[in-house]
Amino acid sequence: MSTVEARAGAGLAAPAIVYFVLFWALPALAALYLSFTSYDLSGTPQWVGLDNYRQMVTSDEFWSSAWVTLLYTVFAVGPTIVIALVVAVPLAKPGRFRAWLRGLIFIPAVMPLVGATVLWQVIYSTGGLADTIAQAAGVGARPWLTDSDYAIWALLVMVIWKYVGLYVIIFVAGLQALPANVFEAAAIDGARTLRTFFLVTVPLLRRTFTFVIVVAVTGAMQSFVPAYLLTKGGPVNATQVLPLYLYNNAFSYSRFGYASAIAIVLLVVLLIFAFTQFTLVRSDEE
Amino acid sequence: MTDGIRVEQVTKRYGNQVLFADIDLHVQDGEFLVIVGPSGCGKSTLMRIVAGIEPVSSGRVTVGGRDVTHAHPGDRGIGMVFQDYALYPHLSVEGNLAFGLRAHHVPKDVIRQRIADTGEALGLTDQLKKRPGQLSGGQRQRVALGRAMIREPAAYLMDEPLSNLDAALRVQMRAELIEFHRRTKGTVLYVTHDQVEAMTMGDRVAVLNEGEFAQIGTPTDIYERPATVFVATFLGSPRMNLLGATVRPFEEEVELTSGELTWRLPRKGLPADLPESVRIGFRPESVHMRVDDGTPAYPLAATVSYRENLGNESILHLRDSTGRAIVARLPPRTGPRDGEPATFQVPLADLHLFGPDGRACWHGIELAADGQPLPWSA
Amino acid sequence: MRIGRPLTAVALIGFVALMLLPLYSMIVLASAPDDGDLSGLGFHGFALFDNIGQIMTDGRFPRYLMNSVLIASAVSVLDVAISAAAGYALARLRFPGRAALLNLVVIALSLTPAVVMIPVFVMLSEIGWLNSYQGLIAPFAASALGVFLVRQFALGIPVQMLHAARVDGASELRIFLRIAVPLLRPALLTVLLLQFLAQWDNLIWPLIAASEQELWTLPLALSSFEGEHGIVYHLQTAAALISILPPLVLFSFLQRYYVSGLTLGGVKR
Repeated sequence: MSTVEARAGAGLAAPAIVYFVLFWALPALAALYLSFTSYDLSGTPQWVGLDNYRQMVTSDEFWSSAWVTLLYTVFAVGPTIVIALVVAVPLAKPGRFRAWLRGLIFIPAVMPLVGATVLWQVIYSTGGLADTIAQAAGVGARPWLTDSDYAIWALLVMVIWKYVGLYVIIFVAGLQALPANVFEAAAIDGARTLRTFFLVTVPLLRRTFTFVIVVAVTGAMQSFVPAYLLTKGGPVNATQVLPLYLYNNAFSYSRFGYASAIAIVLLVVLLIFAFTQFTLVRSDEE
Repeated sequence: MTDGIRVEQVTKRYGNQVLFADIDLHVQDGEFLVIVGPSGCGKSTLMRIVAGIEPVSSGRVTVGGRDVTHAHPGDRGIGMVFQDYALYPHLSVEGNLAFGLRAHHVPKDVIRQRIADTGEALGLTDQLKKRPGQLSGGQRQRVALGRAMIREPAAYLMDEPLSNLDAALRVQMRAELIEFHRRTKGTVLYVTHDQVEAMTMGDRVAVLNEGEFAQIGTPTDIYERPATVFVATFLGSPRMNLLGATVRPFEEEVELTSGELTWRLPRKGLPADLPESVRIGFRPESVHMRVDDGTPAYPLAATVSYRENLGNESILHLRDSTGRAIVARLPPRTGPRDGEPATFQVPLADLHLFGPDGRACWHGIELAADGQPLPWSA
Repeated sequence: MRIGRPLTAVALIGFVALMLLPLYSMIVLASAPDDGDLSGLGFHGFALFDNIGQIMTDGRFPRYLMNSVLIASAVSVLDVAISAAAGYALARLRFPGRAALLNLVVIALSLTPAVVMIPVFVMLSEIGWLNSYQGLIAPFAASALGVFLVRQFALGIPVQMLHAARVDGASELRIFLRIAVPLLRPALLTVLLLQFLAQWDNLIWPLIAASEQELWTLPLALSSFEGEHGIVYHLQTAAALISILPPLVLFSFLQRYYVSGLTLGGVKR
């Protein structure tokens, strides 16, 4: 019996095991190895030790790219979460009208990112929607994507628009899972709306917050499409986030060793971040 | 026709832990045998071993005379009814019944015929197209029975099928299962932790405790002649009273001293090698008010500490002069008031004696079986 | 909230309108006969179907569309099949290699795609799979999230039911296909949907692995629309509109699977 079960289990799991070894485990090891080599796809990788990492820490372009990524991450995640939470609280209550609004807010999040970005390309073009609104507001038209003062903010507006609906839905799910009696108790205690929000709702949503922050931050740090499509990292690297820097090094300059080193650094930062987040929550709950 | 189920010298180990060693059990052809025991005694594991869901560490299992120790569960000639029934929720009643037949590649027209027959036998004909979720609790049990019987098994295994039902449904389903067995005359091995199920359903009951059968016998046998203290206290509610006592043999009689009580039993009928220290056992319903009509009986002086009035009877919680708790079950509105001392008595035929090893050494009822007069019975 | 109730409603509706404004302007832009007005606020004629017709007959757009459908379908079906088998086995069967698979899933969940992208690219170029359908499909044939999701769901299948099927004489494969798969349906639909949407929107891998235009997918075509057609924003927007329709339609039919997939982990656990 148990041999039958063992054979069946191994058989069912085999394709997945092969896949994960072939496309994740081995490539991860290979990436670590490549990060210590110089490799341009022709010939074999040349061992260079820590050269790639040394080059990275002394490269202005890397640090500028890291700074852009930090800026991008902070200003994509912060406003998105704040807006999403503020919108989610009134939307979490039952009712058909609210369900409708939730569905509508979610539409940008369901749209493919590439299609959405192409749309924003037009929105930011000369005489586009952005210019029209800016003129109506008395600000006047601006070169949104070609001026290094504006480009990253233009990118961020689009990204916030794209993802805020997603986090609204996640917060709504989190809010609806909260026990109603807590709010009733708070209401009986005479707590006002704002007090309830900060003293009851926010602390109870801790798990949801952690999840949302981890997902949003790791997502933002790996974001490639908006910068690649809208600005190609320009003007003058003002929007060259790390994933784009990595992509350019690998596939424009064929510096696969150096690009691998960037990928490893990105991974380490992401893992440290996710790990601290989850540890904080765990220690918090004990 | 067949041989029922045999478990021979079966041992089950998990790593270093031995769940049971070399146990034997024979369910006769057409017999309804109930294995009863507390949770963790190994009863469900034993059943899963018979079913082939769990492999044996050593030993032999036969069903209908065929050695199935290493056979696939589907090739053992068994039908099984599971706890909560475990019906396939995504299949219709028909689909549930047909699943095993299809797995065995039975021809379509045969499947159709068998479904029709089984559905009729169980009164499910109108439910065949429904899903389990649309059925009542009773109908679900019938589907589970149908799934077990449709492949005409040599024996049925039932693993606590009633344990998660509400009380009213449980009584009804118990009756249906008894009726099912009467009708099919099938061999049934039934596992439960519920003593009422064991007593009411089994032709024989096997009491399993810590991986060993403490006793196997008819319900009456097990109730009247419990082989061990465990059996005596596990079956029967409220449980049997047990009082420690010392034994002093005399010529014609044996004197039992328990607290301030002294009881004398006739030597004749008692085992010769009665241990020095025993436990006297008697069930709550054997405790009666002392009738002072001159007949000799063993007085039991005690005070009522509190009583539970159940309407049809009263459960009296007593304390004797040395503070030992005794439970008595009396007709309603009888017995002394709370806090009032009173005298009770227990018929000699209802006494049991257990040795220090927990094994029974004497049952008062054996005196009755001998046809002797019972000089001190109430 | 009592005092501010009408205010809240107005603010909410205003917010939703702001969120939908780009979508409205998308429809306006995609319907424009030319690039005369890019503000996307007012209709100047309605040429949406002409524009779509032009895209579909002009150039290789139908081919890109077909590639996208083909690759996204193949990937999501493969992912569902492999994840269903592995997730079910992880949850409900004892077998050698179980711990290894669990570790692999955890590793894959914690790695970022950027790390494995370059080695996989090198590997596929070594075996000549760049510029091939298999090269676009194989790297996504399963997913850690898919295995994880199925496993979580499969833990809800009662073991008793699987035992019942065994006593019924079903083989392990039959139990998987006839009992587990139907019961896992919601989880499998979620995996199918998430993976289809992810592949429909996958830009970076085709960008790297498909330099030949024959193999281009919609995201790649959209990203190089200017290069192929010059600046024709109304056509580009119409093409983008085509690309967002299938996900929107899928979403409206399978909303609950989508939301359950997205919020997994955010509420429970």
